[in-house]
Amino acid sequence: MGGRPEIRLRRGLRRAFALGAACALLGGVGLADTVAMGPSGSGTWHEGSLKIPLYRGGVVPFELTVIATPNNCSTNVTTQITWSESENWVKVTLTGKGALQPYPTVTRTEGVDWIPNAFFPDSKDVINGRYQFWIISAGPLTTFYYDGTTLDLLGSELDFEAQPSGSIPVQFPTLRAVGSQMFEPAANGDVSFTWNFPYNSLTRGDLPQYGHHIVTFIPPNLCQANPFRFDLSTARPYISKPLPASQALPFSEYLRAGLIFDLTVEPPTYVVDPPRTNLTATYSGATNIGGAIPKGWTMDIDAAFMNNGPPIRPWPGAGSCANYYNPLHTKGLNFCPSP
Amino acid sequence: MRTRMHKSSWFFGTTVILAACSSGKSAEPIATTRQAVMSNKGSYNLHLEDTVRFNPIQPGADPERGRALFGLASDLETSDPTDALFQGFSQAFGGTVVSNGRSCFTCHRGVVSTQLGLPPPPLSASVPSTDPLFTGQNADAQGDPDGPRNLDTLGVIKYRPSRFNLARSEDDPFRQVFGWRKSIRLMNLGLTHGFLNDGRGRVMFEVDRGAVFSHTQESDNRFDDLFHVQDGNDLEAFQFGNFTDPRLAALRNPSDPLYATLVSQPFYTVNVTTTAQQHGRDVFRNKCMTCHSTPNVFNNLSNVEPLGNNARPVTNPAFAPAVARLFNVGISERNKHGLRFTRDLGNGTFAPIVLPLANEDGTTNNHTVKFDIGLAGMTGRTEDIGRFKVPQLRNVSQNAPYFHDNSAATLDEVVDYFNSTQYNNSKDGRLFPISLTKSERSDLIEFLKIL
Repeated sequence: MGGRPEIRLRRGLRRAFALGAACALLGGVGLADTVAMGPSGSGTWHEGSLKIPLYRGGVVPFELTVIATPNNCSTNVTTQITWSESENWVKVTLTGKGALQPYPTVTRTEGVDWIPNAFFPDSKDVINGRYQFWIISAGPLTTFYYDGTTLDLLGSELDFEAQPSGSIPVQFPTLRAVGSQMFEPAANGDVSFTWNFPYNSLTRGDLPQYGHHIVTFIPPNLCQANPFRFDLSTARPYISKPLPASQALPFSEYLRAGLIFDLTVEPPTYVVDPPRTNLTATYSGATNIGGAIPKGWTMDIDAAFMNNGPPIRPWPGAGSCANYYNPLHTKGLNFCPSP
Repeated sequence: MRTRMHKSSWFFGTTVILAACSSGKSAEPIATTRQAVMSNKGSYNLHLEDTVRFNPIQPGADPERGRALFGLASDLETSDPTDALFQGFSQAFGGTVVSNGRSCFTCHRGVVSTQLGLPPPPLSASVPSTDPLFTGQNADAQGDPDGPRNLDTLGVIKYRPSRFNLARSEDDPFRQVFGWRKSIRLMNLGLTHGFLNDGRGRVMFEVDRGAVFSHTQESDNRFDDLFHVQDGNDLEAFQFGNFTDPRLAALRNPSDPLYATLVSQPFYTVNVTTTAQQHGRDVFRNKCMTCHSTPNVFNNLSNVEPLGNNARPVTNPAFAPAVARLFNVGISERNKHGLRFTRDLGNGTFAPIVLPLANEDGTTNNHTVKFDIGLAGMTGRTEDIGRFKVPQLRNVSQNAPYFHDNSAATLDEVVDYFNSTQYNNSKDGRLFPISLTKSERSDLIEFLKIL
């Protein structure tokens, strides 16, 4: 049971509320943004708004480097999104005080905090880099092919026009990811970034001829994958080439499946053509696990994948302000029967 | 017996649950019939929407086989565990799983006699002591000295919601935290969002598999390979096919001619005949339907898209442990039965369970568990302490006792609780206050009796 909510809005005000509440709540961007706040949202996927603070290391997938951020890693970035399907627009705004180092430089060491991965080509080092904001959401089951003899990953249905001869097809869940245009903070580290795109077609902000990427974490070899226990399996990142803009999806597809946000550090020039993204990041967050990720916590990907509670946990890098590398998700186990 | 691990199970079986396909069209939104816009905040899933859509039954699912796997005989009243025990060698388990004779039927009995639930407590008044309900209870309580008494006299069972998170150590407080909760009656199950008292089950498949794990043997080890995808699909098909009123089935099918009527006329299937019932219906509409919002079913309609879009593979639901809107109405805090929530260490010693919960402001709260913390045991968020699902209300007069801990014996007690200071001062009661006059109270009860 439960009575009517105390806070009511007349129907005539609903639209105004949906579009304006976040602005009203935010007021100006200033000191308030340095105070940790929870997420809030209103409206529907047709028309509404969402505001969520992103914290350093909010979502730290395997093999990702989370860099140290200015002001002793104490600040955050606030993401505000408003949308209208009927008027065909989406506006994303990022704000933060002293949150990012302009033209960041990140160096990594092969075999230590950078492991070459043919299925996720990225730059080991970033010199005088730039930033890119990513909207990520649940994607389709996608078929991946494994060599029938070695059981090594060959690629996905997005990499081959037909199933490679003798390969083993396996379906895995995936994510969709779309990046914004590149940007830099102000000289003092302040972030004020806006990304506008049409509601009916979310394409890469920097290269609008492309839509989303398919991203997932899958075993590089089937012998290293426990069929029933993701937490016991080896899983490495995979990212597809960006799909053409003709296959871009409306923003509703992202909203309806839950959202993850990531603010990555990208090299000044693309590493491959067409570009992917770099496994180097700053602030991130998510709304698709029953709430947002609080400061100092991160999504527990093992738990989230398996629906074990809780899907969040404190993360090791939160206690210090240094670059943090989330290790390979490898358990060194071999689940294939001995010969 | 199910013993083989299929080569085709390189899907991470059904345990790797990353995300949901989200194509497909929505069904009928009813938000337009409501005056209030609810702003989602904090741990509420930010993508909830009130739309009449429910989890689909998977293609090729066989409800009759599901009934057999459930352990229910074809008479729909008695036990037949022949195909329901999920025992045998398990590669994932690393040995042989023993069933101890329990099946779904053990806690969800006849369709007519108990509406796929348990009889009222004391259970020993109607269930013989040799029944697997009693002989196998350690699979749930694992030696807890309060287990037998709470099961028999109160009809509540010990649940550890994060029991099978084997990535955490056995001593981790999230694996130890527990609640004493009723066995939910499973009628109209296909018209709900999120399963189990705390809504932690995203899809029926997860719920059924978890039940098999917990009720079959006493350890926390998993044996996913004894519970195949087809088993889950068939069980779901059976469980989604039991309605208190056959007309309600139309709510699952937007193309059914009755669908639009049931959506637009929330009391269409409720036979109101007296003035008191009519007045009670108006009271219900004004005082109760913000939470009991599903038309003609009267549980909570809020849900996330991927689970009801008719495109979701059973192996691939959404992330969220909370797929619906849950509330803390103060039932946990009052702990009417005085239930114990400390960890049993054996030999009559108990230790407090202290959970590090995340606050929305980014801080951490070490919460000492003194009552059932509800959804927070699954999400790890302070915001979710004491939150439970909104139950469906059809046939509610036959569903006593009430609340997740069976702490109200009659509908009068339920209504009086929601009309009390205790409710109105509860976390979510403050947001949705209720004040009933004497006549409103009596009329509401008359209406609830005919649901």
